[in-house]
Parts: sequence; C-alpha cells; structure tokens
Amino acid sequence: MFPNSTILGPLFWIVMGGLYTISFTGFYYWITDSIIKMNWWKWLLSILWFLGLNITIAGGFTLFGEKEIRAGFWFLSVFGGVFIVLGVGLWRLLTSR
Amino acid sequence: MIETANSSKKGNKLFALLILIAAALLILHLCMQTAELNPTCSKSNKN
Amino acid sequence: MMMKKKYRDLIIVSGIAVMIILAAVYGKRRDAETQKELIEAFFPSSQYHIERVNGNKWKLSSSNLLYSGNIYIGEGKGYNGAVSIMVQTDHQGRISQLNIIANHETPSYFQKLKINNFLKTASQVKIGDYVSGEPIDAVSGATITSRAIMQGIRNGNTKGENIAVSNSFHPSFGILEFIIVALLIAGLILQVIKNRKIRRTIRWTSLIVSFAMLGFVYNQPITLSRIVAILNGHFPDIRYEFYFYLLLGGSIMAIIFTKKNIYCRSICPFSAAQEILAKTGRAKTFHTKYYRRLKYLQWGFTLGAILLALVLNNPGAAQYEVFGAFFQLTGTVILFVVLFIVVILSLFIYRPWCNFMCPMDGVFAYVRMIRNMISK
Repeated sequence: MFPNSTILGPLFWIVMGGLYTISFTGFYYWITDSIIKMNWWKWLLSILWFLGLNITIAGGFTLFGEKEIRAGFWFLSVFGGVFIVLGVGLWRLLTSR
Repeated sequence: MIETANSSKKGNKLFALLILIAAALLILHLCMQTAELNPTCSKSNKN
Repeated sequence: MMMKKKYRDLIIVSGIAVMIILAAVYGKRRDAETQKELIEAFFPSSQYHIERVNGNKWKLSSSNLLYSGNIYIGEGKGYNGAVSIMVQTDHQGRISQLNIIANHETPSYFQKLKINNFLKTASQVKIGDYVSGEPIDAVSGATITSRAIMQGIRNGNTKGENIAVSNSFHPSFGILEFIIVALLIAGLILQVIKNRKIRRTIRWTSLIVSFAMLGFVYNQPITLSRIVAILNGHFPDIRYEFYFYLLLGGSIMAIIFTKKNIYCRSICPFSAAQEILAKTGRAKTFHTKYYRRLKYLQWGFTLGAILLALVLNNPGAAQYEVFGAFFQLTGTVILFVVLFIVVILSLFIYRPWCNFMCPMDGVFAYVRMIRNMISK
C-alpha cells in the first residue's frame, strides 16, 4: 500500500483497527442508549450488513489499486447501491415496533 | 396538485433538484446516443 | 369553461399529432440510398465488377477475374426497425464477409453482439444452413437483434435464389404471453374489487411476478423506442413477439374502456421495482409546488425524444429508459448514474421514475386525452 515505506503500512492498520473498535463500541453504546430494542437476529443482520459494506469498499479500492479504475467504479456503484438499499431496509427493520 | 404542509421542506427541494439533475443527465445521454447513431459511424461494422 | 378545456385539449392532441407526422415524413425523406451505392461502398468499382441479378442478389467478380462470388442483401426485423444485412459468399456458399449495412438498434445492445463476436460466428456457417432455421445461438440479452441478423441472411439468400420457404405466421403463445395476459387480467380485476385485503394480495402478486418475469427473466417492458418504431412503420415480428402486441394492445384497450392506466400501475416491471424500494424505505408521495412544472418537463422530454428519433429516422435514438440498466446491466454510463439517483430517490419518494421521468407516462396520458376527447 505504501511502497516507499516499511513503517506506514503497519501504522495504517493499527489506526484502522482502532477505528473499527471505536465504531463497534460506539454503535453498541448508542444503540443500547436509544429506544431501539436489539435482539440476536438484529445484531446478526447489522453485522452482516456492515461486513458486506466493508467488503464492497475494500473490493472497489482494491480494483482502483490494481489500476482497474473503470471496474472499480462499477463495483462500488453497483454493490454500493445495493448496500444503501439494504441499509435503509435494515434501518426500518431495526426501528420497527 | 394540492400544496401540502411539507411542500416547503428542505428535503423536498433536494428531491426536486435530484430529479432535475437526472433529467439533465438524460438529455446528455440522448445527445451522446444520437452522436453514436450517426450513420457514418454505424456503417463500419466490418468483421 | 368546459368548452374552453375541450378546445385546449383538441389543440394539444392535434398539435402533437401534426408534429409527429411532420417529423416522420421529414425523416423518411432522408432515407434514399440505393443498393448499388451501398455495395460500391464495400466493393469499390475500381477493383470489382458487380452485376445485378435481382433485388436481393448481385454477382461479384474481381477486375482481374481471380475471384468470383455472390452478394446477397436481405432484411431482418430488429428491435427498433429493419436490420439490413449484406452477405458475400464464394461459389461454394461459404460466407466470406458479413456486413450490417443499416440498423436501428440501440447502441448499447448492438455492442453486445460485437463483444460476443456474433458476426464472426455467424459467418463461419454456410449460407445454406440459414435456410432451414437458426444455425447458431442468439446472444443472450440481444436475442432480437441476433435473430434479425440471421433472418436477414436467410431473407437475402432465399429471395436471391428463389428458394421457397414456408412462412408460417402463427404467433407463438408461450409462457411470456401467458404471464402478460394474466397480468392484464389482474390489473383489470383490481379496478372492480373493493375488498382491501384481496386487492393488496393481487397487487403484490402481480408486482412480484412482473418484477421477476417481465423484468429479470424476459426483460420486456414497453420502451419508447418501440413506440417510435411503430410510428415509423416498423412492426415487430408477430411470430416471435406476439407478447408485445398483447402488452401494448391490452394496455391501450384498458385505458379506452376503463380510463385506467393499468400498465404503469401494475404491469411495468420497473414500477414494481420502485414499489418494492418504496416499501423498503417507507417512501412518501412527493407533493411539491413544482409538481406541474416537473410533469410538463417529463412530457415535453418524451415528445422531444420522439420527434428527434423520427427526424433521424432512427427509433433507437429515443431510448432513454433505465430498464436495461436495472434488469440487464446494459446501458451507457450516464444511464447508470441516472439509475443510481432513481434507486436512491425511490427509497424516499414514491415512484420518482414513473412520476417525473418515464416516457410511457406521457404516451399513455396522450392516449387517455384522445379517449376523453372522443367520448365527450
């Protein structure tokens, strides 16, 4: 990822790991504080959605990295669109009742 | 159409704007498609 | 007041009709290229000697007499109009060159044939094999165009050589036709049933059937380029596309007899897609003070596209729907961007494509206007 440096790569992933932790715990506290009632399948779906979104972004940017700019845009827009729609649907599911 | 209470909402202006953007893009699409359909281009389908 | 509205409608209806006729006449005038000119564009007279045998066959020999063969010119029925094919064969009937000399197909679909090397595959078969049927597989997603090319080869060969072929004009009634009849009946039933629960069941069943079958499996909604093709005098092949006549005829009849546009309400696969997205995002009907203006923009856009395509004598030029992009991932980059906007909008406002962009809305509104005028 950083061809001219040996230290930036590991640092980047440490920061990414930190961000993931913060976002997970942040989401957890926010959701338990709010009126939304969570149960096991809601958690499962949320995590699956989040993983899918991550894979989409990672896949899209991998394609950019491999100089497949066109394919990257297609990948991001098609799967990104699908995940936005799924996200709205999931949000409705979480907030229903 | 009857104007409803939320017709001045900010969100609705955004929606109308998005529709207009889509319409503008469709015009662009028609222009480009017409250029591509130009007979001098479509005739060179040699194998 | 009533009188005034009547005259206004009359002016609009006849004005649009006059514009369409003028555009069609103008477009047809530009179409005046002779066969000989076409052939000479491919085989220059300095190198080849061509001799007309009949309206479909020409004899070809090179000036140094080393080569001799035939040229056949035939037509097939494509999606938006006739596809003219020129086939060059040697004296044993092997195809040495296959050219599409005129077509009106939508560019992004035509592109599929090129990607799949369809012309190359088609020219590896002897011309005689086309007489009895379709020797090679159609490119999926561009079936009508592939079929039109094979039909064009057969047409040129059989007419050029006076080979008798049995032309059956039996329309095929298959699964697609059955689905369309069922959807039309469901749409009509919805107009009379009052019970909300039954209505909902019928409506959602037909939406999902249309979404899956008309959308993903067959991908055959009514498109504007098809309407323009008909205005331009090209009628789809009834043997293969009987469903289209059922769909268009049924929808127009429904407007005439029930005043209701059942096509847009419950048959169109993309309206089903938007309905599902609206359910997902709990979309609301978009009431705005700009509503009228946006509506006029939509209808004006449709009229403009129709006139443009007629003037260019090329129905494919009027294609701006996002159906192909949504159901088949076929379309230009711009159409995909529009589709992206439409999909996101559909989550928040009810049916943005149908209400503010779709060309069929204008076409059916025009049909209804004529109907209302006559019935008064």
